[in-house]
Amino acid sequence: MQKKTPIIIDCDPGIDDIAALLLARQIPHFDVKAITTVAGNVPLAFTTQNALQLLSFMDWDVPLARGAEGPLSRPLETAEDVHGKGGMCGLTLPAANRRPVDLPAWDLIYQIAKREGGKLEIVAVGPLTNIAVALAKYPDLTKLINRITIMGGAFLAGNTTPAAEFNIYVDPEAAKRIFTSGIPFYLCPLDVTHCGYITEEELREIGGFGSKESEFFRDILLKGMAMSIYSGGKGVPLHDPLALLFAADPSCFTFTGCFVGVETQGPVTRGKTVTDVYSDKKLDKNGFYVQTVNRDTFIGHIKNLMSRYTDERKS
Amino acid sequence: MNYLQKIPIILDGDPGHDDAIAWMLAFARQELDIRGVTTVSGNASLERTTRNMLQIFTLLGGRSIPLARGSERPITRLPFATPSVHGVSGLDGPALPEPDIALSELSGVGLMAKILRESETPVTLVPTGPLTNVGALLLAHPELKTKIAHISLMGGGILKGNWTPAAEFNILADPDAAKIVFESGIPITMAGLDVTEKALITPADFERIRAVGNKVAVIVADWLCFFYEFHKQLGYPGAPVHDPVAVIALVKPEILTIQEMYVQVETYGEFCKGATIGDVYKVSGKPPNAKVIMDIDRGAFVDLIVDAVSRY
Repeated sequence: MQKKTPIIIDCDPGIDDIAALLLARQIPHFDVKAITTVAGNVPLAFTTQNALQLLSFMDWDVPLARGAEGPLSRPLETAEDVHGKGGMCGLTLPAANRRPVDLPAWDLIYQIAKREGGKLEIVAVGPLTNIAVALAKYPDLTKLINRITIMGGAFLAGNTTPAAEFNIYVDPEAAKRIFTSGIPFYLCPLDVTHCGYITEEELREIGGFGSKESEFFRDILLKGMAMSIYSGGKGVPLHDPLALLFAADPSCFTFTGCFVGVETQGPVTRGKTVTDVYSDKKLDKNGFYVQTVNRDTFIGHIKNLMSRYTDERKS
Repeated sequence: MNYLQKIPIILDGDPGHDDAIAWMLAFARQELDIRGVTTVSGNASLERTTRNMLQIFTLLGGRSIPLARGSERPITRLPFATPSVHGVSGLDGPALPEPDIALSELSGVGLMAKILRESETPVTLVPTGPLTNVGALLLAHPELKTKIAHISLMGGGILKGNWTPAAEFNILADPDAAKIVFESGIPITMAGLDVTEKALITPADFERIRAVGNKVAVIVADWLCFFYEFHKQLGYPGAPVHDPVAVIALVKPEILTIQEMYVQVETYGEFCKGATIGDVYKVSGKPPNAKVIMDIDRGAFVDLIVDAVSRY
């Protein structure tokens, strides 16, 4: 049997973060060691509360640690226009029956990384502040993380400014710390996540699977339907689930090793990710760019994972 | 206005093989009335691009067109190192005739201003080098802005860069001038790398052009051969002939795919200096300021070049 991969999911729920967490619990070869929260889509108090409520709702016994209340060196900017004031577009879950652990996110990340002896993978789907703080506090952490898969960035055009995608825009300095860390990282930018959309019809099918989790998956993503403008009106881009599923199984994706940088100084281009894939000028490779997704296979995986909640109930 | 009336234009560039081919195309087209040509430093030093201009119009037979020497350095920045793409002269390859045309006594910007002032109808500018002359014109002659009908330029790229991962050479060479142009409010058509790297002319096409047989055809084929050698090393299947796309936007827009968007120029930054940022997803709330050309019918493009050389 394949040995399970130890995983930490760093997130800022957020509607597509919620969808990613619902999927993560059902990925058979993932051993999710912790969830860490960060300020991003909404302030930290909300992202943490949302994650705790969701873990309670799913009855998923995984440690959760609170992370940073804001970016490394800038004031926090949030995306309440997309995610609603509380981060779940007005949807509510029952009160949480658990609390965060006493350690901050960076300490928990380091503790687990150390224990896993270099096998730990991180899936980061919010601003990269927590990981940057962890790397700043623990110099030997670089060698203890096997891989980071990131939802973030945009090469054609951004969704927060014309130049930048939200997660990287919020904390570009943190992104720079990760991109220059030497840790192998896989970037899933808008260029690919906009192709990994789910249609309303597919959501309704999943919602009918007969579990409260699949109903919530449908309901929260239907709230994000306004984002379908980014996918030519065809469906909601599954930004965070795409990064998670890439980490789980890259076989329905293509990716390429390349240079990835982030602009921290330009007044127009704050948080713009830059790659040499589309230019004559080539620089040293420091990461991987996840370029394409086979949408049919991707959605097939999502349906399979969400159907496992139904099977769980039956057994 | 009579619809048969020619479009008055000013060509402004840094020849450069693709500038030269753009100018050859423009001079061959009946729809265009070239009122003047100006140079800028870019692909080569100003001295060289200016000598190249004189040689090009001597070859083409454009003796009556006023030709002026333009800006030798960017508006606010220090001169940049000139690239090697176009060889030592900026237009290496076939031998060209010695210039038999005199330069205008006016500066590039001075000639542009004179043409605009004297024209009854607004004039279109076709810059295919760094935007220094056009930027300086807008700074020095705000009163003439209304005399500029349209700026059809080669520069930038929404997805692509060439000189750096984020920036195209012409914009990177003088980002301040580019910013002035994009913020001017004048209608802009941008032929950036998104389209111009699809404007490929392949070795088979070179021979089609050469077979036309006249002096201009043979020289254009030689220019393309030279230009291709550099790009071949980078893995291109042909020569990306950037600059003529800015002329095609005026004479045959139906072979282009155009997307209107709000475009900003980044003037500073660690990675993004000289990047043109397109608001593809309309997140800025700003109205479009440019028609960005994203694609071209390559076959029709090559036909147009063959047709142009056959008119000489």
